[in-house]
Amino acid sequence: MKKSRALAASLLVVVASACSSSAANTSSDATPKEVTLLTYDAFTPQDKIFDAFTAATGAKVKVVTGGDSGVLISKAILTAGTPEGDVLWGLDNTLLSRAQKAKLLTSYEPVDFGDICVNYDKQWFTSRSVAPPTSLEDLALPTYKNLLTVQDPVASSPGLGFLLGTITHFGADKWQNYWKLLKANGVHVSPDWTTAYTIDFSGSSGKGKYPLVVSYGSSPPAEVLYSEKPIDTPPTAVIESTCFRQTEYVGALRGSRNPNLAALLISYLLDVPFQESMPLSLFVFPVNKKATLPELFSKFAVAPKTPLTLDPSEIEKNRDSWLSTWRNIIL
Amino acid sequence: MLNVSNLSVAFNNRVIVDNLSFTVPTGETLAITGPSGIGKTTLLHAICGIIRTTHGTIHIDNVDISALPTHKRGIGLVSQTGDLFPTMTVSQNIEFGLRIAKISKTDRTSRVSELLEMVNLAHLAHRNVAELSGGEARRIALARALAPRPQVLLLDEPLSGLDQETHKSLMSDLARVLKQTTTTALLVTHDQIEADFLANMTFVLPRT
Amino acid sequence: MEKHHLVSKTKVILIAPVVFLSVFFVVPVANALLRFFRFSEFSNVLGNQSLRGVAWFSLWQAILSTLATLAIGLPVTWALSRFTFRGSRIARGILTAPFVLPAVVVAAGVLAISDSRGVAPIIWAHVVFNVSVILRIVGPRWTMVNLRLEHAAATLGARPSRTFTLVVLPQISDAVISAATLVFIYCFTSFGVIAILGGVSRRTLESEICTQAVRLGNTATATALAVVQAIIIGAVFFITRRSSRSQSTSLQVSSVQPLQTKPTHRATPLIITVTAIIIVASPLLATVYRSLVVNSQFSFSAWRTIFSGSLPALSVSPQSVITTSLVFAIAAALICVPLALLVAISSAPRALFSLPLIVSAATLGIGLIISFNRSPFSWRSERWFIPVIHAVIALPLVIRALEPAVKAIPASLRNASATLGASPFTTWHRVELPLLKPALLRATGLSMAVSLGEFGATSFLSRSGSTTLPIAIAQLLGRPGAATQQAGFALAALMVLVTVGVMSRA
Repeated sequence: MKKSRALAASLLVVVASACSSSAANTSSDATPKEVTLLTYDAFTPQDKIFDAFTAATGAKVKVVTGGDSGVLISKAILTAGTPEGDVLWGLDNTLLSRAQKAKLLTSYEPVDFGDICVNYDKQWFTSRSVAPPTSLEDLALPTYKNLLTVQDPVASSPGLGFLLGTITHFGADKWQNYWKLLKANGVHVSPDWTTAYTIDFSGSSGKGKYPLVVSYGSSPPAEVLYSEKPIDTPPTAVIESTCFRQTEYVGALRGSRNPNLAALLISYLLDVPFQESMPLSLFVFPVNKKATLPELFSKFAVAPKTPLTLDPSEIEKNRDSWLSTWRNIIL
Repeated sequence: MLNVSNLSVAFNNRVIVDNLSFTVPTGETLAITGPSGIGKTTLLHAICGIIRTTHGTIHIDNVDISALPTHKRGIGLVSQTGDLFPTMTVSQNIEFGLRIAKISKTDRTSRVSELLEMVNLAHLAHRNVAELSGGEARRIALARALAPRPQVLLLDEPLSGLDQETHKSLMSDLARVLKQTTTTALLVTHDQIEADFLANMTFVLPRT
Repeated sequence: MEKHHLVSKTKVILIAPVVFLSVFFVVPVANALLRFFRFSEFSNVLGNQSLRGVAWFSLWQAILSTLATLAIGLPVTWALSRFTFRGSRIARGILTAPFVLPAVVVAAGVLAISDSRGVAPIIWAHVVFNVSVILRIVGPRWTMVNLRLEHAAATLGARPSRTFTLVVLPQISDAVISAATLVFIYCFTSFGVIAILGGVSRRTLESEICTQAVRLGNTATATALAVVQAIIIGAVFFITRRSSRSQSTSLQVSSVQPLQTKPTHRATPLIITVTAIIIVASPLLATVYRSLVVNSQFSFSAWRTIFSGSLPALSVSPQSVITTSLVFAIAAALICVPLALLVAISSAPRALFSLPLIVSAATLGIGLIISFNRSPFSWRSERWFIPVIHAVIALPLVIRALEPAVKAIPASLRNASATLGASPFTTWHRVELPLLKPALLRATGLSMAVSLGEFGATSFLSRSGSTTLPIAIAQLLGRPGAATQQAGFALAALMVLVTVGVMSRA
């Protein structure tokens, strides 16, 4: 009985391997029926958004997800040249250089953008008749002591974005001092966005202790869209001057078996219909200037004209040292 | 002296022991007989506190022990199954009650030897209990129960299930031990001959 | 030790488990080590002061957590193994339910009640997770301790606590040590709980390995740390093996009897159980609370959504998430339990089969990615791969859970069967297997629990449309918007309820 199970298992192995396609890297597409989009777990496109693509090209879009953006890129780098999919969605400006170093992609371009900004709980401030902070400097003021929660920049992408924003704003030699002030002002560091926003932030369902949280410029409209009961205005707002620009890229994976379909999919992702679906499904801004924003977004999402930005190669060069300096200050 | 008054034990509305009263004078041995299944083991368990009684009292030397937990009653038990502690050797089993009573090591050792002599098994002192034969295990169980010098000793079918040879020798050893010690003893058995041999008094447990 | 008569065929029985483990565990891990381990980095890591501090913290919080878990787990295991009373089955289910939950949910529950972070909440969260391990591994062994021995000890003057120490403990010590070792390892490699409840200054080796491997891309450092962690865990295993006695006595199986007397002790098992439930279940209540109450308003909408609706924050419907998780869980159990049984009856040395406990999830994950990437072994995106990896991870736990039952089958039974003309296989099939049924059912429940809650190594694997519950919960909680978050807690609460239901039966 046990032996027959083992036999069945080995048969399964043989059959499975027979079914998987061969690794032949050809310049033309292998099986023209499917193109695979490799992305992170939080990728939730609008329902049926790929139908038009399938209708036009005859190819189905298979979305394969695995982890968050950091995990995704690490995995992809580990298997650069023999990828799991054809198109990669999930690289942002903080990870771009890592991917370039590993020669992960044959081509890439920006597909969306958003900002990492400090969000605040409107109700908390109005009920106490305290004006919310309006700048990064404000966050270090005693008025706002013990009110800010940020994320660990090592583990969290918004956390890293916020740190990079402060480095850009204060400059390479003054940002350390700023963080020392923040630490003295009781800044709380959460391990990730979920803990910070869902548990520690007072403006969300967790009713935590902190009315100031690092999140995205697109979080307020999400609060409206996914609110418990229908509301007109979001309970949260964004401090515009704290925003750090995060650009996301989409690219064709080197070694993919369907390079032609990959190129077609990328054009589709950059085209107006998909770009217009992004704000309310992925909570990012379209790069395509011809795409119109939904009302909820144009009213409540924040994307400053001049956000804080940092060159991806700068980030790559200094990230490790910046992170360890930050660690030493905070711990 | 062991005195049992109006003792009743019931399970699930079934009366097992019904209003039983008797007295065993100090140092004497009472044998209770009756067919299997009549409740003899239940009676013993009730007396040493393993089973709750529905009413009645138990006195030892005029001290009411009915409300005391088993470990405070000072009543030893040799059960039908011996129940030697499997992770301990013969000596360790015998000295168990002495360790609990915080007797010193030297005193313990001498008492253990004394008891092993009494049951003629001195050579098995360090044997693992898993290796004992049925008869040997019974003797060790007896020695263990006697070691802490209990005021009362209960024996549940001490000779059942033994071959004729072992039965004979254990019976005479048991009779000798009971006479030697001043422990008051209560013995249950289905065998009338055994009862007559080992005890001063017997009575038959009535059916309820 | 009593050797099972099939032991003479040990080599044959072990083929399947050994091949399974080699292919899906040893090969990927070896691959990862070969590719990424650098001795220079290893000595760097050993010399690094702050990393030494991280290792030390991992160690002492794990020891404290294990002791706390034993302090609560052993009494309640006694209460539930020795006695049956109204509610004891549900109690068993409630105490096991947290095992499957994602760390973020339990941590949120603990935080909701304790309102503070630090070592004490961490230990509390660890207790919540791991009482179930004590229950599942020591419980079966405890029910086999002969009650009459305890009576004998009482007649010899030993009060209950001494009876426990001198008579009962030596008999269950193997199971206790086995369970305690597992709890230690789970606490030592704990990641999510510590991150959320400890704050950024508290890190364990496991979180550091993940950070180095994934966030910073320093695979050499990550591998070096993984080796350090493996050495520490290996040392713990070695120490505990030494202290566990070789049982030369065959177990006398006694059926569990509800204790009829001990007037002073009637209420004790109940009190102990209720206390344990309060400690373990209160964070779960916080989860249920957050699924029903938002902005101080009570509403069933989140529950309605997960049963009937779709959630835009998820790329698949909640029902399909639940179905996927259950399918994976059943598949994992079907793979794991037979293999575990083979190992348990062969009484082979456990070292090989305990390896999944020693190696960190990140290392296994990385190994899986690089080993199963090219055909004919490009399995890492295949659906069936996920339950296979769940089975690998559940294997050490399930083997330990099955051991007492296997050892309890007396040789006399087999001998009787043989004298009646039954071949060893027939004896196995008709006499022993039926005796093992309850244990096999429990083992199935246990492997399903491990599969439902698995979030470590499998998060390195990719999925296409097959989201599991822990991932879905993380996704829902990872979005702004009260409705989505509430739905996340509802899904978690659903996991709890299903687990309570399943685990009270098993």
